[in-house]
Amino acid sequence: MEQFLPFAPAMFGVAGAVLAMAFDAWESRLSALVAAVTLLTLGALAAGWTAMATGLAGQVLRSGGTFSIAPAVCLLLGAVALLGCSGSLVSDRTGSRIVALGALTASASALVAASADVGMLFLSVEMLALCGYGLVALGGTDRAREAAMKWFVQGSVATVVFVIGTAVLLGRTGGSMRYDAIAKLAATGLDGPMAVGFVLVLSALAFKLGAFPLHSWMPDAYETAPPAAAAIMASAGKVGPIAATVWLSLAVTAAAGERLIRVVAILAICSIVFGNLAALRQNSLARMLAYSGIAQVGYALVGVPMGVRSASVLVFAVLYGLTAAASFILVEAIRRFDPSWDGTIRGLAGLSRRSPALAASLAAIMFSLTGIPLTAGFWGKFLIFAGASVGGYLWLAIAGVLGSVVSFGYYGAAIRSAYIDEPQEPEIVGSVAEEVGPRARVAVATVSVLAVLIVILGTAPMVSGLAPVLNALLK
Amino acid sequence: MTLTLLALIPLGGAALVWVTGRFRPATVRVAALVVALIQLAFTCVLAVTVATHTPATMTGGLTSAASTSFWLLRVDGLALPLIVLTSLLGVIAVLASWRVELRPGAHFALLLGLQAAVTLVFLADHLVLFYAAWEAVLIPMFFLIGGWGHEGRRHAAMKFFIYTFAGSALMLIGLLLVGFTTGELRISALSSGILDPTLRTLVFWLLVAGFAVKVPIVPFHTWLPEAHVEAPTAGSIMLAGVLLKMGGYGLLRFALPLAPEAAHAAAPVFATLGIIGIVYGAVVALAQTDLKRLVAYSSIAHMGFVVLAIATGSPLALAAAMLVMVAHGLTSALLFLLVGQLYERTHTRSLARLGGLLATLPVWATIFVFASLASLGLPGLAGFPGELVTFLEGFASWGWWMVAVALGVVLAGAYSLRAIREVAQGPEKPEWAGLRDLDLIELAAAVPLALLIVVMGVWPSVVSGVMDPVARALSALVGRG
Repeated sequence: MEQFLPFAPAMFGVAGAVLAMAFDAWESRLSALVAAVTLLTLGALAAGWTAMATGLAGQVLRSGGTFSIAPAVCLLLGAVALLGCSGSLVSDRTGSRIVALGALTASASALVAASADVGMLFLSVEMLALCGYGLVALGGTDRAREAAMKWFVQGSVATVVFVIGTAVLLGRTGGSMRYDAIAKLAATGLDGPMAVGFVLVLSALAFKLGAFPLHSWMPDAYETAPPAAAAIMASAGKVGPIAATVWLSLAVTAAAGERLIRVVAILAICSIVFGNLAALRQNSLARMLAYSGIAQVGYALVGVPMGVRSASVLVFAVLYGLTAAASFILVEAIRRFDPSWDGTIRGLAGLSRRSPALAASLAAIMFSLTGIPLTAGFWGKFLIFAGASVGGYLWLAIAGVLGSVVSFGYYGAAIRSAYIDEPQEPEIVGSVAEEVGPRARVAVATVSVLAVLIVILGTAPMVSGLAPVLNALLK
Repeated sequence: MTLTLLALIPLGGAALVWVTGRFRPATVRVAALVVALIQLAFTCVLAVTVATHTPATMTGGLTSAASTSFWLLRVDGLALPLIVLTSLLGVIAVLASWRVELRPGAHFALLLGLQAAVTLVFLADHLVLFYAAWEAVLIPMFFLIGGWGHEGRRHAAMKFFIYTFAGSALMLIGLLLVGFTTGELRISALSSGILDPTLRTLVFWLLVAGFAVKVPIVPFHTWLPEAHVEAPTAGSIMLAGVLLKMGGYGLLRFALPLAPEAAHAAAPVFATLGIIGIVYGAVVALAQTDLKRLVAYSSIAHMGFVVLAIATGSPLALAAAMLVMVAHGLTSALLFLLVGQLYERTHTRSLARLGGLLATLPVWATIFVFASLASLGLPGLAGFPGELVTFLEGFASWGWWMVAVALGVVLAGAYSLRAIREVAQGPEKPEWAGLRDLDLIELAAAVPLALLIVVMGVWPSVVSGVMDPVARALSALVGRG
């Protein structure tokens, strides 16, 4: 019985998905949403509980240690994202299907985060990917289906790469695919096949993360997917792979040393540079968020070479996941609030006058994504860059902060549009404001709550003091 | 607790004013003024307490109780003059925006929020709190420039944010290296020997990156003219009056004590850049056709004196750096205030269109002539003692290079007198006949500044006396004591 315990959290999420599909048959979208959110929350609680149990040897999933809170985070972010987009999930015809696939995505991501075995990692990553293809296709438009197909084709290649990598590792270890078996072997010296196998597995994970140069599916997928789906993929769907990448790298590189670390460091730098430069050129808000997501993955990877301090990556991933979910929930809320919005950053002009709450939330979310103090995003970047700069990776930290500076060019542009730019057709303003329905109000309220949470998470540590956390992470 | 109040009064006031603005927009400005005045009164009480405390060293002064939180505050001789300046200009900025009609609640809330953040920069005794406050300053300023600025505000707000953020991001790496290699995050506990000698040069330049943009040291000044010109009057007052001082404060608080050898080695570079700033700022100011731009470029010249004084590094020179900072805070605030008042009447800042205002607006023009004379460094006014001491001390260290500074001073006279001639003197222009002169509120903003400029001119030791112990300690560190 004890052997199944680590699976329990994800199973809650899967049960939520099953219930959502059942309710979908009855066209009861509200029940589907409530069931999925409830079960995901229960799953997160269960994951939090199992996290406290000590590591169970001989399992494909692990518990205990700092990283064992990652599955709980995945499930919780899934619940937050679904709840945040409740308006469209209840009213749209495909709502329940998004709920079901979303709950599955969160569960799969939790399994990715908890994997202690490359075989298990492979299965859960594939499950995560399949949910993603479906979620994007649910966008319903031709562009969405094309994006899903493009992602599927590229993802198949990544799958093959993963299989080959796993096979190579399996051959070298002689049967076991557990991380600790691989680490033990790596400790005796890293030979060619081991390095190749590891790099192949890492590439597959990097594809899933959307790190440069394996990112090209991401902008199309995030832009065309329903905002609720993008919110889940960008938050719950990212935390799992980030945790897995860090943990796998740690397991192997603790023994194998610097050389493999460099691969990750180069991936990080390339993602930061490319993601930021590409995001600067975007007109669409969702597309900008997608490209900036590539850069954010880069910041997360900066944390990988930090060795034991890598736990700060988890803090970063959690806070980024929350903000990223909030950013797509924001896209959804703006669409609800103003159906005539064309999705562009320019089109946000005058938002501060039409809806002060939406504009203020947008400002908080964009400042948080940039990593400005007083918002949650600051602490994630702070810990990452602190760890990198004292851990001998000063150049990575400098690249990271400079990337953050560039990122204000587009995050700030969104704030500027909302607050400073004049709307092009001011006469429409009045008519739109009158049409705000109750659903739009719920959407605005949800995103406002998230924005307040982001600010509280950003300011509270200032007063309460993070000293114990800092000491644990950095000393 | 008292120190905490210093940060919380404007912050709570900002919230209060914002709420007031939602319900009773007409009373917002009064509420903001009351908050700013309470803050000023409180600061004055504190100043007397600290000054009688004799803040002997860098580690002296009034300190908050030790705790594990980031909320550690401290006031010493280095921070005190700048905190008083911030509280004073906070009141002036509220008065300067008395007639703001566009979303007054948000405007005054941002202004008070800005004041809280700047005060916290000078108060912070914890590296993380310091950095958070430093960046927090950008947020209200971004919205002030963007929301209430002039024609080019859209671009100026972004440029201001990104430029200063670029500097401070590198500064963050420097602070992180300091904090996490020494394990000491409390600023007052950072003594000169604490940092690993191999790291010092690196940390010094990383920190300087942040401070140099803020001062600004030429060639990192390009954000300044645009931000100053496009900002609303209250924004320009705070920007020139106190935000630039954050750079000088940072150099004195962190760069010099943490890496004295690196500071010593870099002194010639800084002296050169300071001199270039003095001459360049003056030359470019001379070429301006826009009155506000002229004042903005004169800021670069004056801040050049601060850089030169810090590079010189003798006790007197460091005290002079503080004198110039406070004097420039008063003078530039008065000049921006006057330019703003003029713009409200004429809706132009073009030197070519102005003229003869001594006849049209006698009170305004008299104060403007006074402020311009203070800016050029007339003896008996605030600018003179600091710049003279900088010059004399600089002569001892850098010798005949000071001729260039003398040239800068002559040019300062030239652009100030040119401004007086083009704006105040000359034949009365029919275009401006019938403009009303300053009213009571406008006088209430301008006259205290003018009086303080005289006070500082005849009694500079009111500032330098407080700074003196810190200046001696710092100067001994960089080996020029």
